[in-house]
Amino acid sequence: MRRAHRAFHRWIWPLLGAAVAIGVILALYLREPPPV
Amino acid sequence: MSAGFQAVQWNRAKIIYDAVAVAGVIAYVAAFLAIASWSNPPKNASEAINLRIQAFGTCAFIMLTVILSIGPLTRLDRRFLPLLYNRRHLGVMTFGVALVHAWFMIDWYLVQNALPNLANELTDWPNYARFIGFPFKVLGIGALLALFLMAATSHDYWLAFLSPRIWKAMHMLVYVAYGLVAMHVALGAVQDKNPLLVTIMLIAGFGTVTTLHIVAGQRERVTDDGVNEGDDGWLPVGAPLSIPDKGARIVASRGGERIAVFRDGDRIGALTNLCAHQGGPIGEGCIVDGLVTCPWHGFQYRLEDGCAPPPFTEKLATHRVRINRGIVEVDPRALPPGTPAGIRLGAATG
Repeated sequence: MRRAHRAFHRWIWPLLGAAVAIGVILALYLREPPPV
Repeated sequence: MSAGFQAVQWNRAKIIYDAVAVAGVIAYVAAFLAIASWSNPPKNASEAINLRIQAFGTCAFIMLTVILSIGPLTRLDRRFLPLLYNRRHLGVMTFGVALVHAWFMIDWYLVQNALPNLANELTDWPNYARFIGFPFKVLGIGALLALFLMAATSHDYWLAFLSPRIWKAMHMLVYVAYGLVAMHVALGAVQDKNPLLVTIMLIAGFGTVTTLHIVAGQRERVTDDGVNEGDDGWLPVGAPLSIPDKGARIVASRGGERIAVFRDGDRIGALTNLCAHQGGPIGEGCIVDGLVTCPWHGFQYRLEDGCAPPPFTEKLATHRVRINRGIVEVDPRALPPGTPAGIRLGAATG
């Protein structure tokens, strides 16, 4: 992998990973409680 | 390599790899269905189909997690390289498992004569503005399409047709697919009544892939920081015998590309670290039968000039090397691909 490629991967995937992580955490946090 | 279209060139290693993967899928799905049916027997056809949806869906997610972990694992420990060798077959298999998952999802609606409900669910436009309640199946469909695109172009024919650079960029879609699958699970199965196990699977899988990538990326950064150049710009590599015989040391100038400096007995040569095939790190390979061999897929090049042996036509850029006060040094300025630049110890001392 070229150097520029590695530099690109070094920030794009953590960014996308953080976005998905936030989405997953939000989905868990905002989950509607099951009916009693 | 590089000799026109050829169907899958089966060999013993590939057959074993695929057999283990298929056996793993069958064992996982069978165990999932057996345990789930025993702990909570399905009461009707739709519940039985729902179990199959979950079995194949979780199997596909685990396979995708494994596939994405292989890359950084091979950067951290070379013993994982055999897993990289046939990773494409694993990817195609994952698409197949995901397709079965999607089929059972449609079957669930068919069994209940409720297929129009599926269409309604996907076209309920106000739901697209919601977070909880977002049509999560659309995310799954998006992931499936990405997996299909990669599976359909997985053969080396497409690599050559599209060029390695475009092909590799397209196959980075696997990360997009994984993100879509994670959200598909988070907004779908995790919202169900009993989501504990699937939530654990999601967090563990996503967390593993993320952690491995961060750790591998940090380790790669050390090499990218480069070494200090000499006054004339040449990079010190080390004493000749510090380069492993039939192996290489990888160096880079600050801000420059990596260079693989190989030693084959008393011959020393420097090639760009990027394999012409898919940019693999040839410096992590070794010399086999006098040829530099890429550890990813076995592409080979002559040490003295970076040319693939006939009838193959690939060429790598070479770099000048010299021995200066007992230290091997390499010129970071690349020569045109195929330029002879190797030296023999004792013949090129500065």
